[in-house]
Amino acid sequence: MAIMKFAPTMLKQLFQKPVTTKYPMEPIQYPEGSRGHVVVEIQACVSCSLCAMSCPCGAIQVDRKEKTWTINRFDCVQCGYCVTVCPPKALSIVPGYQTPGEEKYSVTEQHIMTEEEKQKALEAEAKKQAAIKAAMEKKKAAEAAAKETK
Amino acid sequence: MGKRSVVPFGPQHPVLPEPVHLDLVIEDEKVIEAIPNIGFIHRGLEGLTEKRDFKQMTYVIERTCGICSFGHGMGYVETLEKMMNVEVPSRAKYLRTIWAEMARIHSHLLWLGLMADAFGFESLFYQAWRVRERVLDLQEMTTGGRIIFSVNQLGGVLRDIDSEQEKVILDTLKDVQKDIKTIADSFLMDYSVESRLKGVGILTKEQAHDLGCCGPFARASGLNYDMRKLGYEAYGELDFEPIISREGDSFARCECRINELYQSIDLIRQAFSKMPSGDIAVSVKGNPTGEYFNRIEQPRGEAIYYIKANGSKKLDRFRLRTPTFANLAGLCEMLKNCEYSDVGVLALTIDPCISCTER
Amino acid sequence: MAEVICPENKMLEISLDQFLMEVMRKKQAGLRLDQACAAYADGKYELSYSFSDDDAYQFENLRVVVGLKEEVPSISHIYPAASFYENEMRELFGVQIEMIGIDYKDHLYRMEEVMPMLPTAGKKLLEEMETEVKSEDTGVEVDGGEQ
Repeated sequence: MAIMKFAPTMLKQLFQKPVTTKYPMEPIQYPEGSRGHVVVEIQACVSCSLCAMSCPCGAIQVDRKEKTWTINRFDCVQCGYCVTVCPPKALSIVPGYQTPGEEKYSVTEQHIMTEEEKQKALEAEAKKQAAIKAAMEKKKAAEAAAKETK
Repeated sequence: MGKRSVVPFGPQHPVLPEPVHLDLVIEDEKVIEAIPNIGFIHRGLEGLTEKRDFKQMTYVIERTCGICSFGHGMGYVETLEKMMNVEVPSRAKYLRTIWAEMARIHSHLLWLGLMADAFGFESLFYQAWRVRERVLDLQEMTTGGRIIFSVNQLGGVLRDIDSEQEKVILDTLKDVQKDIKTIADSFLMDYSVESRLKGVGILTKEQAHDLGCCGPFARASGLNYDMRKLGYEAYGELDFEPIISREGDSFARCECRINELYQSIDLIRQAFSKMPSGDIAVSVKGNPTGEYFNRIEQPRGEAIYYIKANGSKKLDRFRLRTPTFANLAGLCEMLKNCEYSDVGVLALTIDPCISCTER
Repeated sequence: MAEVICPENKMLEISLDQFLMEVMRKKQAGLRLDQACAAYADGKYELSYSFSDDDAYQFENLRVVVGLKEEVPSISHIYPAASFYENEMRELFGVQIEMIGIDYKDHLYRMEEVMPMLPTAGKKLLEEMETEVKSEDTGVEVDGGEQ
């Protein structure tokens, strides 16, 4: 009889709780390695801008002078290429998608220079100025020598 | 002789997953001729090679299509590796094979749902996609993305499958196989499905060969070839035979694809049992030169990848010939002398992937 | 271990007058047309027609190098499926293919740009060839034309 075939399913349904999930009241559990959005550890970033050059969509902009890192999450396709090419491994891709919005916007992170970095930058600048000065003096000496031989 | 009229089919149609336009010349409910018209999803992806370097192009090519995405990434990277003579580690080859077969399972389950929906058999549609959700969960667990994996890189793969994930995959596949058997039996042994599919849309072996058809579409007409026999990736070490059928009608095509589902599950089990341990990638330096043609078997048929490079970072020419492009001619031939109401069902038996057809 | 058949791809470079004969030979041998594509290199089009033998899994290519304005005969009367490939080559690259079976007359893809995949160097060459032809027709010297 057909009803006997269906009886176990029917009885199970009487005592089972509904299978509908209560999203968005209960948040979704993404698996561990899921590719949702890109985050940067800004203190480890050295502003080499390799990520900006390698992004297939052009979603990342890096300002070397200001030491900022900007991403437009609405343009990003979560491919993970920037994570692969970053030399100091400051980028990572973590679960959780960008929620929809009415307009596209970018998110900027600012790298704050530590005392050590400021000192190093000053020293590098001083070295560069000294090198330029030495080159200018060498050039002057060479011109003076050329005049004398004439 | 009755009066002839031209009826447009598509681009918006409940049965089609992607927009394609067919101009049907009809005489008294019988289709005389069908002329396809494509171009609704042309994004010019082949032209992007002028602007992106060859490593970024992997991610662009993967996004040609949502259903066959892993195959495109794998084929592109394989062609580059053959041009640059890169020896990929064995474990990476097995991992790629496993992911390719998982992509095949999810693609065929998607097709099965759409096929049932074209009949009006909606409950089978959602049951098939419910089983597909379990495969998509496996894919998200191992690669990070549900349908776009982004896990291929030049020289290997980016992620590994550890033993815990392997156990989860094999357990899930056992349940998936049981569910597929229930669904497939209720589809293939149903009287109304049989009467609508048997003897409809026949394509003989000679016609399929002359029109250049490929994939399960051609195998159901009796042509015996499957590009996986070329032995690329780890397929050379796995044991399988192409699934062919002699009838060439729509029912044979449905049967071929469903049997390929069981074959894919078996291939994944074989691959896990034979997979060696080791590295998953080698580092590759330098740029490609020369040209190369490469063929792989996508879920829909044979895809050809042609790369021409000149030693710089940007490729000269990249050409991707997708299986549906080759099967379009077969579709138009098959639609001759069929009833007008069968057109939607027949268009789905070729498993059209229009975003692949016009990249 | 399953049987693996993977022969090397074959490439045959021919000239335009041998083209139709070679294609008929492939049809006689029972090969299937796999794909046809065009590429631009150094002021010429490189057309590649690929055929495959399914029993031996052998992939054979015919390479025809033609100039920018040379007329190429269509093979859609030998292989009907070639219409789509040839329409695509004509629309994206501007290869002058004549007598295609189903002729879409440049409306296969709905695009605004004409010949989008031909690089700018190729488009410039085409323009120079046009001005040369015009100056020959009218018999007037045009400055800035190809010397």
